Amino acid sequence: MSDFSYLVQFFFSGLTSGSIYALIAVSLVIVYRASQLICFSQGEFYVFGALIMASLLMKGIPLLAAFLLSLLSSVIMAGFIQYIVIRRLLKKPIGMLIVMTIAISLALRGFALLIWGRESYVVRPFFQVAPLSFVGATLPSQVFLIMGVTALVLLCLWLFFEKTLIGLAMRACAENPDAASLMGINVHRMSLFAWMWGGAIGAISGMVVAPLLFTQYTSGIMPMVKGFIAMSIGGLTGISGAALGGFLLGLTEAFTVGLVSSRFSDAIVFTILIIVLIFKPSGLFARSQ
Amino acid sequence: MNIRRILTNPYLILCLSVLIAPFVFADKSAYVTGVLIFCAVYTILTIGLDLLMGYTGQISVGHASFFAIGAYVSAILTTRYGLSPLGAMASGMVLSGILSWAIGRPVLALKEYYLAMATLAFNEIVISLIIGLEGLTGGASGIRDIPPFAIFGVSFKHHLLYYYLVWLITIFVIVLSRAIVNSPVGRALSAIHGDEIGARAFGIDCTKYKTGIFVIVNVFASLAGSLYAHFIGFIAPDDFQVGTSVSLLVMLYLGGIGTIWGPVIGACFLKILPEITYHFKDYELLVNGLILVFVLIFLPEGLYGTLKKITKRAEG
Amino acid sequence: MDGTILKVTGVTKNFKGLRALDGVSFSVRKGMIKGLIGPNGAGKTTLLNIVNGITKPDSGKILFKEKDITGLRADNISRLGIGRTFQIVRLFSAGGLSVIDNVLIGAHSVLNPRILDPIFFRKRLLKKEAEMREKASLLLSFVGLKGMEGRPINSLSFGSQRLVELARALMSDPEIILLDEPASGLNDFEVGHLKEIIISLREKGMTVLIVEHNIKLVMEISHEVVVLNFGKKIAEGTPSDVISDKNVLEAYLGSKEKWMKV
Repeated sequence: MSDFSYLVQFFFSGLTSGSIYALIAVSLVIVYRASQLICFSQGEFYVFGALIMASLLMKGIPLLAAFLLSLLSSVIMAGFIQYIVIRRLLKKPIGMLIVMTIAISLALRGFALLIWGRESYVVRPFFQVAPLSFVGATLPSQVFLIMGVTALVLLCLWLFFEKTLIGLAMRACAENPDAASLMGINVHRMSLFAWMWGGAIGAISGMVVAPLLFTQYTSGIMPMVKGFIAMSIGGLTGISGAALGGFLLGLTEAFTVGLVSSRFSDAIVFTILIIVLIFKPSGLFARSQ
Repeated sequence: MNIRRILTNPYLILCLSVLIAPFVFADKSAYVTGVLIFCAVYTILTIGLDLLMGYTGQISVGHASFFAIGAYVSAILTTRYGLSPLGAMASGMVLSGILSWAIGRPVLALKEYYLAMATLAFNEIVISLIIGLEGLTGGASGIRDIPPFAIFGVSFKHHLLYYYLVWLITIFVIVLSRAIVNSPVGRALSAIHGDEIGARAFGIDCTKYKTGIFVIVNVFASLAGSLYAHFIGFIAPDDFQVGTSVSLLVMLYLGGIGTIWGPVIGACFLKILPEITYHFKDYELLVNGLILVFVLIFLPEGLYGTLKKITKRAEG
Repeated sequence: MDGTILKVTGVTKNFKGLRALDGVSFSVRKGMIKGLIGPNGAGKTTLLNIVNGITKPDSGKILFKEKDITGLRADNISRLGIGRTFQIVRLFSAGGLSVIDNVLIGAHSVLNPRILDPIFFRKRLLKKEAEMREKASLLLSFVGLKGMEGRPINSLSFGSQRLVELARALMSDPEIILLDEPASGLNDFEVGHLKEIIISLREKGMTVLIVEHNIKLVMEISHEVVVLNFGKKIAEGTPSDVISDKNVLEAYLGSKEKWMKV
C-alpha cells in the first residue's frame, strides 16, 4: 500500500469512529439540554443495543427485525431509567447526580455481564457486499453504512427539533424550563423523551458498529468517554457542534494512531481533552449566547 | 464521664476491632488479615476522596490515578533499583505531591462535569502511559516479585505484622484527616463547597485550599498504593483503572460522604462483602451499581451518616 | 485627607452589551452612613460587587483609604477591612455548618490558617479560634440571636439568616461595611431592630454603605444618599436634598416604585 492509501485508510477509519463519537456526543447533548444531566450510562445503551441485536440474530431473527427490536428495548430501558430513577433526583446537588448516572451505568454493565457473560460478540456485516477498494485502501461496506446511518440520524434529529411540535417543545424546555412549563409543556415528559432519544441513538451507534468490532459488556465505557470528549470540544449545548466534535475527534485519533503511535493514542486524546477543558471550556465550536 | 460516650467512641471501636479481628477467625488468619489489609488500603483512599469530594466539593472520577503512581513508583524503585521500600514509598509520595500540585491548579478551576471528566481523563492518561511505557512498567503484564515492606531492614513479611502496621498507618491518616476537618481549615473547605464566591468574600483563598487538599489526598493515595504493592507483590494496570476510581465513589457514598468515619465503613463493607458472597463473583458489578443507586435515593447520608442521625434522634 | 474612607471614581461596567454602570462617582466619609438607592436594575449590587472585588469594572477606580483597590481579588479586599452582606443570603450550609460556623468564617481572614496548620500548629490555631468563637458569640448576641449558635443554618428564618450574615460580616472588624438590601424580606419589627443595629454600629465608629429598597429606612439613618438610575448617578446629597430632587422623583415614579413621602 502506498503512503497515500494509508492516509485514505486512516481517513475513513477516522470518519467511521468519528461517526460513532458524533452519535454518542449528540445523544449526550440532547439529554443534557433536557435534564441538565450528563448521562454517564450512555455507553451502556451502546452495549445493550449491540448485544441484544447479536443475541436476536443468533436466534435466527432477520436483521431488520433484530435491529428494530433492539432499538425498541433500548428506548424502553432509557425511558424506564428516567422515570424511576432520574426524576427523583432532580433537586439534588450535582455531585450526587453525576455519581447517580455512574451508578446506573455500573448496574447496567453488571446486568450485561450477567446476561451475556464476559465473551465478545460479533455480528455479520449488514450488507453482504465485498469490501471496496479505493486508491489502494480497503474499506469494508459497513463503513459506508455507518456514515450513511449517522447522516440519516442527524437529519432526522434536525427535522425533529426544527419542524415538529414536540421537538420545538423540547427545545423550549432546554432553554427555559420554567417558562416552558408555564406554557403548558410537561417538562418531565420532555425529559423522558430526551432520554428515550438518548437510548435510541446510543443503541443505533452500538448496532451499526457491531460488525466491525467485538462487543462485550465493557465495550461501552470508551465510546461514552470519547463521546463526552467530542461534546466538550463541540461546546456542551450544540448538536451540530457535538457532531463536528465527534468527527474531529475520530479523525484526530485515527491519524494519531496511524502516524504517531498506537500505544499512546489514548494518552494523547485525553490530554487534548484536558487542554480543551482548561483553556476553552465552552468548546471550540460554541456559539456565544 | 459518660460511659456510653466512651463505649461508642469510634476510635476505640476501631482500635479494638483491628486488634482482635485476626484472632476471631484463627484458622483462616492469614486470609482474613489479607482481606483486612485491603480494607485498610481502600479506607485510606476513600478517606482522601471524602476530603476532596465530601468536604471541599471537588468531584473526582479518577482517584485511582495516584494510587497507581504510588504503587508503580514503589514497585519500580524496589525491584529495579534496589531502593528500600520506605525510600521508594517516600519518593512516590513526593512525586505525587509535586505532580498533583502541578495539575491541580488548572484542573480544580473546572466545575462539576468538566472536573469529573478531567479527573477521569487523567486516570485514563495514567493507565495509558503505564501500558505504553512497557520498558519501565512491564506494560499490561505488570510488575511482579515486589519485595515485602521493610523499615530500616526490619521486614514486615509476616502477615500479622504487616496488618498491624498498615492499620496503624490508616488510623494515623484518620487522625490527620479529622484534625484538618475539625478546624478553621475544615470550615473553610466546607465554605468552598457551599459557595466559592461567598467564601472568597471572607478571605478564603479558594485556589490555595483546593490545590492544598488535592495534594494531601493524593499523597495519601500514593501511600496506599505503596502499601498495596508491597502486600500483594504483583501489580498490573487493571488494578488502577477508572473502574477502581468508580468503586471508591461507591464506597464513599455507601459509608457516608463528608464524615471521615463513613469512608472507613464503606471501604470495609465493600471489600468484605465479596468475601461473604464469593460464589456470586459475576454479580459483583451489578450489586455495586444497585447498592449505589439505592444509597443515593434512600440513604444519601450513607450508613454512618444514617447511624448518626438515628442515634441523635434517639438522644432527643 | 478629608476623612474620605471610600472613593468611587468613574466606574463603568458593561454586561454583554448592557451598560450596568456608567461613570458612577461618589465618596464616603469615615464614620458616616451612606445610602445607595435607585429603582430595580439601577446597578446598585453591581457597584457593591465591584467595591468588594467580586467583579472587575471596565473602567474607573475604587480608592479605599487612599489606596487603589480596583481589580483586587475579593479575598484580598476583605483582608484590607471591607466587610459585606449579600442580597441573596450567601450562607454556607454544606457539611451541616451551624450558625456559629457561618459567623466564624467571617473571621477567616484574621485566622488565615495554612492548610497544614491544623496538624502542625494545632494548639496555637485552636487557641486563636477559641477567641474568635467568643467574639462570634458576642456578635450573635449583638444582632439578637443569642443562643442560636449550634443550630444548623438552614433551620433559621429568613430574617434571622440575614442577621447571621451581618454578624459574619462584622467578625473581621471591618472599617467599612457594605450592606446589600439588608431589610429585604423583613417585617416592620425586624426592620426596626435592624435600624437599631446599624445605628449602634455607627456609634462604634464603623462606616456603612447601605443599598436598600426600603426608602424610609435609608432616609432615617443615612447622613448622605446617592441615587442611581440605569447605571448613572442622578442625585447625591442629604436625605432631605434627595427626597425633593426632581430627577429622583421622576425616576421612581417612572418605574412605578413606591415612594414614601417623609
